[in-house]
Amino acid sequence: MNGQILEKLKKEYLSIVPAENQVIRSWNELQLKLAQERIRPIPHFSQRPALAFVSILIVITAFILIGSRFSKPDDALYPVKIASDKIVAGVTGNYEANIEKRAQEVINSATDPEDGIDEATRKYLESLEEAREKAQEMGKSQEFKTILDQQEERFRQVQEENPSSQRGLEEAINNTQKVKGEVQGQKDENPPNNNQNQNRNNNQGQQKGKNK
Amino acid sequence: MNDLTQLISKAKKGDRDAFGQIYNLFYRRIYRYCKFNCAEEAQDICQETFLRAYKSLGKFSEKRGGSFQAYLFAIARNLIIDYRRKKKDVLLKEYQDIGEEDDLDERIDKKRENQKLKEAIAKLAETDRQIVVLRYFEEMTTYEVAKAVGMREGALRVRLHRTLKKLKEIIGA
Repeated sequence: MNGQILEKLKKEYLSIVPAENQVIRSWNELQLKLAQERIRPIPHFSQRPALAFVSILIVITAFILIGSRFSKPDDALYPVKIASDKIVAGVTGNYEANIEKRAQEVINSATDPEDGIDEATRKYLESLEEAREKAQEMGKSQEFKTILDQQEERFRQVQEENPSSQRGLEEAINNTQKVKGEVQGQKDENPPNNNQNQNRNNNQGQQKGKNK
Repeated sequence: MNDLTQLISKAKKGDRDAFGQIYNLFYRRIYRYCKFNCAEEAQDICQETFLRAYKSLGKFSEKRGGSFQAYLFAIARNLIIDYRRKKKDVLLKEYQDIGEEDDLDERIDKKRENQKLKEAIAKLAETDRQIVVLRYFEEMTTYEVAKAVGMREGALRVRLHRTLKKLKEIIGA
């Protein structure tokens, strides 16, 4: 059925024919317009400096970012790695991942004396401070403390296995304990809102009494 | 290299006679398409199609899988859509210059006979109607129709199948 319908419609469609004088007149008009126009050539890639510059910039940035992934604490690209990790943590909100990465760098540096243990330890402390602030903001102090406990245990295990790497690991353990103490201290200063709730309940009780 | 490819190549270099030959090859088809979709302004839209095609001829490349008729119909289609957007109440009008040679009685009979079919195709969505026109009336390949309406070939095939089913339902109702 469709075939027949389409055939009829096609016949109808094909019967639309412009008059010959119209075709010629239209071409004459068009020719006048074409005389004022030029075909726009597509510039070659090399002739588009802005595009070429942006492309080169993207390629260089990609190389630097990929290269920085393999950098060690004393390398030139190490700050790039730290900066990109901070951006990723800022976007995803996963600051704990940075602690683990920096802790691993401390462990690696501690076992290889050429790997910049001081820089690794410094960055580890920075990542702890940053994660502590975020954990407190998000009310995740307890989870943060658990992560610190695990890191401390990890450092102690490596310390036992590699007695020669005492200095760096000891500092990392001290830093972990220090931040843990800060988190604990904060918790003691501001115990979970129980007191506030109790006060609120007392006030409500008093209010009800007055109303009676 | 076929004739059309040679003409395109010459026109790209600014040879207006070559473009004139291209115009002659396609004018009637583009006009028909414009008239069917947009009766009132068909001539202006058709002329504008060729003007735009000439201006952006540099962008067209057969080497990148381009089909010149798909390129022309795509330009015409965009112009029709623009025009319809501006004048939302434009429907498929009667083609005033159909069968100008026929006498009045024949024309009336012909109109009655085809009225139902015209109404059926007018009920289709704009893109669906154009797909049917390009595929079955202009006999373009699905690849070319897909290029002209800016769809993927696979998606076009599925849409075409659904449109034919819809058309059958409209006529059967």
